[in-house]
Amino acid sequence: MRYKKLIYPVIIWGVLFLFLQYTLKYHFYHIEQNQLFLFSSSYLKERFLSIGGFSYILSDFLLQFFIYPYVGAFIIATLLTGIGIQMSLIIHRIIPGSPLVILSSIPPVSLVFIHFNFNYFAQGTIAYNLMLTAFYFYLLFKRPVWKVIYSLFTVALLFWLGGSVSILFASVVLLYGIVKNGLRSYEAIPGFLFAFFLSYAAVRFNIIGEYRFAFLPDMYYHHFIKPDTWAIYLSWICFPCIILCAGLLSKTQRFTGKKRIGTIGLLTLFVLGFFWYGTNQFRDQHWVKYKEMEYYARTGEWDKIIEMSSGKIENYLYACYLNMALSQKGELAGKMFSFEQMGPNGLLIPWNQTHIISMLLSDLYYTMCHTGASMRMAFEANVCSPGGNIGRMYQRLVETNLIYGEYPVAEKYIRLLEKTFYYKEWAHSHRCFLYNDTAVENDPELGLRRRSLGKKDLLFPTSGMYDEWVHIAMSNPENPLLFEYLGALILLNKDLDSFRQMIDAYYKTATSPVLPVSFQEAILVIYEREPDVWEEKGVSQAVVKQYQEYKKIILANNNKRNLSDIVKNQYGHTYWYYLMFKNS
Amino acid sequence: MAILIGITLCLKIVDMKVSTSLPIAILLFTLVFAGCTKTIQITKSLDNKPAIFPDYTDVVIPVNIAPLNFRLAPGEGEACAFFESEHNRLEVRTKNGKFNIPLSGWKKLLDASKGKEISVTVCVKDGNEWTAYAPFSIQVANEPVDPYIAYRLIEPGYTLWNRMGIYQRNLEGFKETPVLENKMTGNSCMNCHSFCMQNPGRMLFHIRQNYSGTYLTDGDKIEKLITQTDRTISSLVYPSWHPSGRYVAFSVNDTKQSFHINNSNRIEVYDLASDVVIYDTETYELLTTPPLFSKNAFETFPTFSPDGRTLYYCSAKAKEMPKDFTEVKYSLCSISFHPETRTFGTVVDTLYNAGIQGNSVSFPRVSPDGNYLLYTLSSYGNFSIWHKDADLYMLNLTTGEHYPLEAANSEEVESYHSWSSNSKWVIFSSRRMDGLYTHPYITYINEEGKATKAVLLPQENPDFYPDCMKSFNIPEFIKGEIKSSGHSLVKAAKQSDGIQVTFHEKEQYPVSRSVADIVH
Repeated sequence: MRYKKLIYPVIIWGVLFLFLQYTLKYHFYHIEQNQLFLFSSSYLKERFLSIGGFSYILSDFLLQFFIYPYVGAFIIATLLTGIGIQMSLIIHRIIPGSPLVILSSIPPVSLVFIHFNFNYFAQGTIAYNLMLTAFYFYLLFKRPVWKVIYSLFTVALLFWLGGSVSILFASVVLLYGIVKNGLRSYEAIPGFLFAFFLSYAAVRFNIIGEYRFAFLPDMYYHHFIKPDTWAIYLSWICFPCIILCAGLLSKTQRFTGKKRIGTIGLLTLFVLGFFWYGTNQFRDQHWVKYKEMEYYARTGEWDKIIEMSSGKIENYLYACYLNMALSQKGELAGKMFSFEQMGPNGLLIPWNQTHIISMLLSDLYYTMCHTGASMRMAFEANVCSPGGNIGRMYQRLVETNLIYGEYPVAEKYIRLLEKTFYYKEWAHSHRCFLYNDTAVENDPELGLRRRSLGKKDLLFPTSGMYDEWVHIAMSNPENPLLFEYLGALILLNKDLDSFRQMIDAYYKTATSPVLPVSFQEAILVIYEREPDVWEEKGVSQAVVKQYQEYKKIILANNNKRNLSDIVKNQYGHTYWYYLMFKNS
Repeated sequence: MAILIGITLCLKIVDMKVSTSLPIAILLFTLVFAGCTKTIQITKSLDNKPAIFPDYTDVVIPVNIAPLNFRLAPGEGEACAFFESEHNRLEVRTKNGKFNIPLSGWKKLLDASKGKEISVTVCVKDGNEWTAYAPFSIQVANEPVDPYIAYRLIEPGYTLWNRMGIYQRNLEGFKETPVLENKMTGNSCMNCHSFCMQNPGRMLFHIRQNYSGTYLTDGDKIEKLITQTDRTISSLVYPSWHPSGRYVAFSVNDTKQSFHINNSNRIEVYDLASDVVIYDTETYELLTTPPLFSKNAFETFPTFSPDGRTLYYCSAKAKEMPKDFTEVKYSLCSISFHPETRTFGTVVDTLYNAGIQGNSVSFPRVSPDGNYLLYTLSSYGNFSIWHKDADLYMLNLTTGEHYPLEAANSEEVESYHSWSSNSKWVIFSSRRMDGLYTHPYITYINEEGKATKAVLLPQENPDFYPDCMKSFNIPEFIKGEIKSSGHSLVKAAKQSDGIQVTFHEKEQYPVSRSVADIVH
């Protein structure tokens, strides 16, 4: 019998785990970056003494393991199952043996919906667990005086450990009291007033910044933005609703026989329907692909990004990841037009002051050897991220400061990362570069970027569109990747004059220039009327022949409206097609 | 606690038989008191002074400063420090290399050592032996320092910001309290806090973005000002109070930021245009005069003399920006001001000619006794916190001599600074620790106008600064605690529409560029 009681939660846990692993696998890798747990007494002390700090520490602590496969789904499934179990115990306490216990699934399911959102802190789910535990123990007290003492004590403790969830606790205690005893539920009032007072006082005395953080689950969301989804409020709405139902129904006759079976069926359908509705409503498909690409970029699985990019590219974000993957494989200029391109913003996405784009730009700039811009974006990402600290961006700050020879600052970030679980080994391994120019210059990654700094300085952003890129490319003429990036940027802008100048400069500096196919295609367009220079400019006979055939088809079908469709199959992968038919 | 336990036990033992109680009492006394009075036997003495962090060796400190907690650098383990002066001695022990000096003992030591020298001997334990380093000195000045400072804490960032706030710190202990934090104002930016003659009750600061405006406090009264006018190129920026409290000199700046590809000064902040105006707190008007409001020059960083009759400011020839950013060099100028009539003199004096001397002045500040003018000098530009060559320089206003504060300067940036009310102490920003994060240092100005070795603002935990991810911005001395509550400041920010400041029109003022005319 004892084991039968365990089967249901285990099944629920298993279902949750599989669902979360299937739907949020890459989401967990992504949110690991949002918080940083430090094994440091000053960090722990500062957090612990703040409102909601305990749940925040626990959230930071658990999230650091999300970097490992399956762990994110395991932990969140466990937290949510814990909520389900506590909810069932509470319902059973109020109305024993009732089919209403099926509704214990509603709060964890509603929290699944908000977990889809990367601006949500797991702190909220942990705090919710604490609140349920507190409410269950409240139900064990019979005498009003103990209820009062317990609720006062628990409100204060919950507020300190969990944050605004203490208001939810006190509100439901009051609601339950009214349901059970009507308006004479005096023992529920002091706790509620005290919770209200604590939240108000915290704002009044500037401990918490805004009332919504003190009274609402907004505390568990990125503080710089107002929640853009009402999913965050669902769990706070359904808990009192369930208690209300349980409390009211506890006074009526029990469900038996067919009525019981019917109720079970209805409630089960309701839960499943709620789950289906919420999953469709709140799961933001736009970010699913991004998180997967981000993970592959982080782990260097460039082929997978390229595989994901066949077909239509929906936005600049995906285009940037594709082009970054191509460049990492040395295929940017050679193959970029084999994929759908979105103009220069698909190579370098415009900055929108969010941590997502800042992190991507830091990666892009780092790949392009624009160390100053990469360092800047890493700093901005850290500053505007939900938790204020991104371990991966601190790694970037270590790298970029090493490249610049700013060793004391690099050491500061190394020391910080050495206080983490996942990053400490990496941080420690980079100590060998500190105050050691030779080691930096000999390192393939750091050394390349140090050489790309060039001899001269330049302010960026500059008034000239390509000045920075020319500076970087000309600092390292033996590295074709840098010219590929510059060339790609110019070609995506359809700026053929600048491309001509770049090619002339490149030919003067590069040791053995071999032009990628797309560059050859562009040269043919630029020097169309000068076939004598084609070979000199590095254009192969195969490309020449292909261009001549392309021109024939264009001229033959010039007046047709579906000209782009006619040539797309055979020439859709060429720069000519992009030049003629695509918007830059 | 050990003594109390010992006494309690002893009292109980007295009730026991003498034959059994006496050896127990002796044993207990030995155990209880041995830890308190154990002396160390130094077996080795070194010639060199200890390496400690922060470096508080051979510094001059005010009599009312918080304990200079420090740690061995490197080094952990058992150690002992003896602080000895003529009539006082303090012993501090540690098991982990970090010395946390007890506040009460430190205060007694400093009070007894005012105007005298404290000798500090650090001993470290190696196995069972104690080794003593050569002693270093801490000179206690006769003059106290103002008991509070205010500063902003912010990441040393580029464009975005996270949590920031203006804080006050009691220099006589370690307590830091927020004056205003941006979590209360919708994550807005707040800056340029400034105090009239170090008076905490007369303060101003700006808030940008949400609830933007300039806020002036006068005791309990808080005024919110909307300072953008159609005659000025921006809202009011860098402030300096007139000693009377009636006027505040401000700059107005069109400031931009760029970044270096290959320069140790990673960021470049420059003005496309700037002017200087005087704000009259009684009439809510802005006043100016042509030398402060020229199209052909960038005027900025105004500051009043202590008698309020001279306005110092920085001025550079206008250049094409950002192209010629290294050619913008600010001279130090002055013009007379007549507070009774709200008028200016017609002659501009140049105290430092950037065109001749070759460098650039920023942040001029006159000492409250009027004897000296402290400024920051760098090779070009005005946003010196991002220039590694920026150093503190002094101008003796009596003799006209300029000289660097060598003992206070470092290889890294020294930039913003402010005077204590008695003109004997200066607090300034420096990035000497790692080249990026700004920390506050205090230096003593002696009778000759020379600075002493910089003292890092002490913290309770000696490892505070290496772990701190914020910069200390705009450190300002204040004579007491700021009483304006964050709540009242936030209330003023949220509930007040603000008073629109107007530009006082006079025939001789040329029409400067309006905001719409500025081409970026």
